[in-house]
Amino acid sequence: MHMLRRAWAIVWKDLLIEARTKQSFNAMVFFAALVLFIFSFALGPDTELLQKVSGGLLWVGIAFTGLLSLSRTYQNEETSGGLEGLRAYPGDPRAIYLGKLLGNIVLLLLVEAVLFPAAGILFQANLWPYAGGLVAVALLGTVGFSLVGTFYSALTVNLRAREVMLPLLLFPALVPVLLGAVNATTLILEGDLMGEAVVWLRVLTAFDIIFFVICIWIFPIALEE
Amino acid sequence: MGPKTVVEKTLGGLALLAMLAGSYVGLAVVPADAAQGNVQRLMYVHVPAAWLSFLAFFVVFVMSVLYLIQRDPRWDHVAASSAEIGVVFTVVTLLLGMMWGKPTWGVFWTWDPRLTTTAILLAIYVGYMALRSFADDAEKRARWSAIVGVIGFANVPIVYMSVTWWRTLHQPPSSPRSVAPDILWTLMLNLAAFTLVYAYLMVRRIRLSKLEGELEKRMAYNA
Amino acid sequence: MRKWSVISVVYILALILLWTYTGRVAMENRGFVVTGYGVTWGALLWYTFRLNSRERTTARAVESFEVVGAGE
Repeated sequence: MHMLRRAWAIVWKDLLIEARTKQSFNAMVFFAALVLFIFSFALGPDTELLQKVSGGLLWVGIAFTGLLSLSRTYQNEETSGGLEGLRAYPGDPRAIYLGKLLGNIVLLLLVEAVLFPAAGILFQANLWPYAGGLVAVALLGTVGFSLVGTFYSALTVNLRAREVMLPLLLFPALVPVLLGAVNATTLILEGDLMGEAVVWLRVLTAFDIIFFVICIWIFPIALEE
Repeated sequence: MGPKTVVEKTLGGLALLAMLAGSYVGLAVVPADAAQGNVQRLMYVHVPAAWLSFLAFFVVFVMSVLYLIQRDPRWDHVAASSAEIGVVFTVVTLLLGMMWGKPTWGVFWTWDPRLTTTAILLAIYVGYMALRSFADDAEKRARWSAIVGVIGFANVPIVYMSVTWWRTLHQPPSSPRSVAPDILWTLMLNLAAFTLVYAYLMVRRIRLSKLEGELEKRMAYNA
Repeated sequence: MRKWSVISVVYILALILLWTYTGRVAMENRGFVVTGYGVTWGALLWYTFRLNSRERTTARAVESFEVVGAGE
């Protein structure tokens, strides 16, 4: 209980700073929209093709945008020395991880709340009938992305060349999340006639549970002096 | 520098002999496979290379866990060495898979679950090695890379399952045929040879790792 | 360094030998088989010799620090 309150304090602090300055959110939304645009240009104006690959485009956009926000996860602690700043928080280090994790999830979900409708308009697809399924995929996928992302960005925050190291470590680890999210999204948008999307939602759920346990367990070691 | 102790020399000699024998039997003694013809001869080096890369990464995982529990630099030396040798074996595995795939499937690359998982495995451990090269402090490098060694290996079964599902929604996985005895023997011989090579390279690489640690210490001391 | 060149020559001779042999037994897809075995042997030999030279340079560097340390 104590830990959750500490975690919540970090979430509240970071989100309050974000709400006042909007330094990440605006940039992320703009960046995500740009990624969608660039993909549309690269693939040509064939609407049918774009609709067919929209699941992949969306999640590549989310992955790149998420990477952008992950590298700023610990920027509020930057002035106090990154990891040293994190260590200065009192109490269980797991609370720090939980707090940063929740902050990342909330921020990324907010971006997706703008990105999904925007993609619907760009690719001329009516998303409303599939809203329930899409929300489930977005939630599970974002949690999986943020679990590993928050962890690895803490590990690389004080590293030389962290801009290179974070994606190098993160993207191979995220293969199951990307496969699950892309396939589930595509299947749902196609109407999911065979009920196959559930398989992918299970993959995402399994990934989330396994990596929640591992990351929570190992984070204090990563934060050690 | 070269091999040092008698044990090491013997190990190296045995590895070389076994590799020579394995390649000789695989290329010239065992008859060509009835279904696949001579391309199948690549299997005698492809399968052992794949096995050894998995073994090497498993060793990284075990040593990483040991390091996180005991914090003994010895385990870090073993883990780093095994990761590097594993990467070499993985690259060989992928290249051999391509050499086999082109005449069999008509393409160098296909999104076969095992091939894809091996490629992702390579990416995970290249990341592991890059992290090591960017960390300056020995203790932090050991701790951080041990963490990546644990997370990376825990991910392997999930990656494999998800890639398999991704593929099998379109095509069923091929079930292995029953294996002829002489094929099995050749495979076993080559597996033994590759294991000896792994053991020999590990001895060499661990010694190098310790030497590098010593150098780092002296540089820090003199700085 | 001399060992290196000897091994390379032996390696290339072995490849040529393998190429002729697979030609004489009329092995189909011999290009793929020979390349596959060649790559395997090449990679393992290359790595072993990389270890040799890395160990030599590192050992030399360690010794150079020893000299500096002794002088102080």
